Amino acid sequence: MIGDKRPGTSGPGTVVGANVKLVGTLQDASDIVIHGRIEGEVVSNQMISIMETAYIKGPVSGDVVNIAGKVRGSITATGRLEILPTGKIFGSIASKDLSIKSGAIFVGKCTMPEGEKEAEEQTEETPEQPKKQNETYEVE
Amino acid sequence: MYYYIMEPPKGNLVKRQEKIKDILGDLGIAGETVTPSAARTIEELTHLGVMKGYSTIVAVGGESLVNKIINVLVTQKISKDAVLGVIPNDFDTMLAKKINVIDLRSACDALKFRKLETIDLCQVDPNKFFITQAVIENFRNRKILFAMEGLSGSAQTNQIIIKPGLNIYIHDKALEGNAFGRFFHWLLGKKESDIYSSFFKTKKIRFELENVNLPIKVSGETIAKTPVTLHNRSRVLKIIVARDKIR
Repeated sequence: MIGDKRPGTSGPGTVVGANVKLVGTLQDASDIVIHGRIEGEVVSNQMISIMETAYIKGPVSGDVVNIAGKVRGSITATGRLEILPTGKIFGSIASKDLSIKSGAIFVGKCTMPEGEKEAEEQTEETPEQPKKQNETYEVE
Repeated sequence: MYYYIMEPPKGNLVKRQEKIKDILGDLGIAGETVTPSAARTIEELTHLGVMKGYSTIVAVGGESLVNKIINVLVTQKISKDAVLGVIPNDFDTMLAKKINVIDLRSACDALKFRKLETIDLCQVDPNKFFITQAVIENFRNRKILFAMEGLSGSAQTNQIIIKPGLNIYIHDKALEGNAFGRFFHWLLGKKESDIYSSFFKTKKIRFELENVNLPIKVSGETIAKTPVTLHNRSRVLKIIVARDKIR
């Protein structure tokens, strides 16, 4: 639904066919599936699927983003970002839940806004665990 | 008070219209019945009905008849209270599903119970409205340019379907491969996903073709030619729907 900014709108969303070229901002409250070529921003409150035949030149922002095509631009996923084996990304990515499959190409900077803090906290706690295990052995 | 505009009876329609009149009489909602002719067009009859003070104009016939009545009700704005009722010829159409009627009886019952719904219509510039779907079609693929809110683009296509709510379907059959290829895939049980169809929902869209003007057809009738701008006009017409309609 282009121009429809109502959150949580259900429906089929937007599908861009392989034979379609778009220039401008593609915005939809529902899912977006892209097989074609877009020069501009892609924004969704829900899932964005960039399929194998797709080429995006511009920023992509969504809740769940799946990349099987080629993207030249930054990608922001508030939920999960998955780069599939055929996916090619040339630009920065930001997501708290990231998956990069073998075969995918990613050239750019990666930031994990919330996940980074949790990961750091976990690494600080992990060195203490072997000590506890050793202590248990000593008791034995 | 009901004002029925019935399509000129041809073949099986004669018996059907008699049956409709009987049902309407039984339900106690029989009103004035008119039939368009060379002397009185559908548009003129609709205008006349509203001017006479009928609050419910009922289209008894096909989608073309319904669209012509809608155009008068929406564009001429003779009366704010005018309501559209429909007894469709075919109950397997999008329009019949929209008003949730499945047969003659349910269509007549819906008229009696008068549950009203205010619906969206598509408008083709300058002043044509339709409730059904419009089609832009060509024998072979052509590059069509389109512009929406903040977005412009092009597509190789031979068919564009515009549905109420301005739902745009763009399809390119030629890119699916030849008949032999499709048969081969069918033989091997391969299922190919359709990557050539596009779907958009917007409030306004303009279509344009290079060096050619394609017709925009609604119910088989050409209502405009490209370049053309279409709008979604929300809540512009009151229509009678069946009571058990769940949407």
